[in-house]
Amino acid sequence: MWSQLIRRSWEENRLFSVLLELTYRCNWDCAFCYNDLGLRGTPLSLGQYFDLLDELRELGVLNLVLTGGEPLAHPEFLEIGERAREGGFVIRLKSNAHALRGRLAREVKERVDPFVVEVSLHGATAEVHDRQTRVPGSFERLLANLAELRSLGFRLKMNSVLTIWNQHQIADMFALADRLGVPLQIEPEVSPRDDGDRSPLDLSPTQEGIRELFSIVAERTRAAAPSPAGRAGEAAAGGAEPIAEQASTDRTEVDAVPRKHCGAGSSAVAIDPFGNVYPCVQWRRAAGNLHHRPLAEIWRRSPVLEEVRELTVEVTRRLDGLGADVARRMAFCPGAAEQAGGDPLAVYPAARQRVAAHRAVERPAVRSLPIVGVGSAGQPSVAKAPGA
Amino acid sequence: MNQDQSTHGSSTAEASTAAHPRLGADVRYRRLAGETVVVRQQAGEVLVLDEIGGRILEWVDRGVMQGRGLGHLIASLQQEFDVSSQQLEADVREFLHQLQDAGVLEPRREARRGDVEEPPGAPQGGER
Ligand SMILES: C[S@@+](CC[C@H](N)C(=O)[O-])C[C@H]1O[C@@H](n2cnc3c(N)ncnc32)[C@H](O)[C@@H]1O
Ligand code: SF4
Repeated sequence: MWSQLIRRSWEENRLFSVLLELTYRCNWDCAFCYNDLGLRGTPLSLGQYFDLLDELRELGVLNLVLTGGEPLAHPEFLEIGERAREGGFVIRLKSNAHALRGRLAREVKERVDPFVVEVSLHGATAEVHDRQTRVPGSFERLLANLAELRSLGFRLKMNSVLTIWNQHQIADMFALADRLGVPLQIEPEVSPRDDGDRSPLDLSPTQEGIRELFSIVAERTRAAAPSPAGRAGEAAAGGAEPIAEQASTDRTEVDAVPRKHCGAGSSAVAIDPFGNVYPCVQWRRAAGNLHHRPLAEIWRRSPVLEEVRELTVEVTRRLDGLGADVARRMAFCPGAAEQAGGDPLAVYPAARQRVAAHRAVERPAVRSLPIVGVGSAGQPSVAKAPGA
Repeated sequence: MNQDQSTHGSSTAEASTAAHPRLGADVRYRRLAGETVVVRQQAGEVLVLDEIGGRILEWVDRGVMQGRGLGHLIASLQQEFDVSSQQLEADVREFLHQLQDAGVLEPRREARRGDVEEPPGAPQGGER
């Protein structure tokens, strides 16, 4: 139901999810952070945020991601968050949680009441985590704050980025997450900085690291999978459906293959602290600026968004040519592709790396099948990928 | 949409004095073209209501029922449906119960006829 709704909003170009980067200020200093701290402009005022939230409600937006930088570092975070709650948005707060304790934590719960708080975990030990955040004590403080947030009744999730520094702790990070009772998602790809600077990539994980991540995730997924009988029982029960953990624009969330690869510019936009509107947090082609034009107008008239919508259809076509399995494993992102080489349709190194890592993990299983030729038939060469 | 204009029509004594529910504090919803997406944050569940269901939910949320009584809603709907007001009222009551069972609505403890309460966060406008 949820996935169908999202898919329909892609097809109908109906804005459903908006990500607000409230500020690029931050109390951590992550070595690999993608934020462009050199970007200049006039920050949106509180009044402009209020108008924007009203407009988003009118447009039918339900999912609202509040992020940054560190969103809690915005001096008017609580006012903006409270207005968003009053506007009936389902709010996802992405925060490093360093300041989310004591009175602020209670105020966020009472005034903003987010659907979920997503925090960042960068290692299983203080040594690794703090090396990445460049703030001594940030690991211990995160663990203490998570316990407090939990007792306040927040729904929690942890996100992590796999790097050369933490890739030896993947299993330990999952074990820590299990002990905390908080789901953990590890992103295998370090992105360049939003201004194109590739220095964050110096911390990219190795192929072995990515492979280990996929292997551990596959094992955990297998272990957690309900029995077919259990699943049938759930389906038969009908009624309400669990909401997707992330208000994602990712194609993997929809159950039938849609025309568009993702919802970038079709059901979602990202807005930076200076009012620049992008099709997605990762596809940084400015489609307009809220200081000059209201969002509804940008949404309806921006040639950039129109082109992006067409490109997401073209991505599907190209990926279909590679075969469904390769496309799925690649987790292709046209925004990342554009950033990597200027062409949103070209397969980029990190996508190729993912396919290779998946294959390495899956190969033993395929080999053990008593069927000749499955491995090659289902896995066309990545070298045939467009732009490869 | 004309629900706010249809204030005439008969409301039964039972309907007008019934205790009216309100939106659960953790419930978020949006009315989209033809349907309403309802998210129960605590349970992490999503439901989709049809056009009429969404309209009724919005009425509850906006405090319209509490202010003007269930009869007002019945009268409004009766303009669109060729069924008796008794049947409509039974259907609406059944629907409200379903929403309560699903955790979307919760009972309002001190419902008094004539109270017009806009709960914090109640949508102010029409179609959203
Ligand atoms: C930019 S942060 C903003 C929210 C908050 N400050 C935090 O760190 O959780 C959003 C997410 O992006 C991740 N991130 C930052 N830089 C990244 C990069 N270069 N590549 C991939 N993910 C990155 C962070 O780890 C975090 O999970
Ligand atoms: S906490 Fe988030 S915004 Fe701050 S430096 Fe780290 S990744 Fe960037």
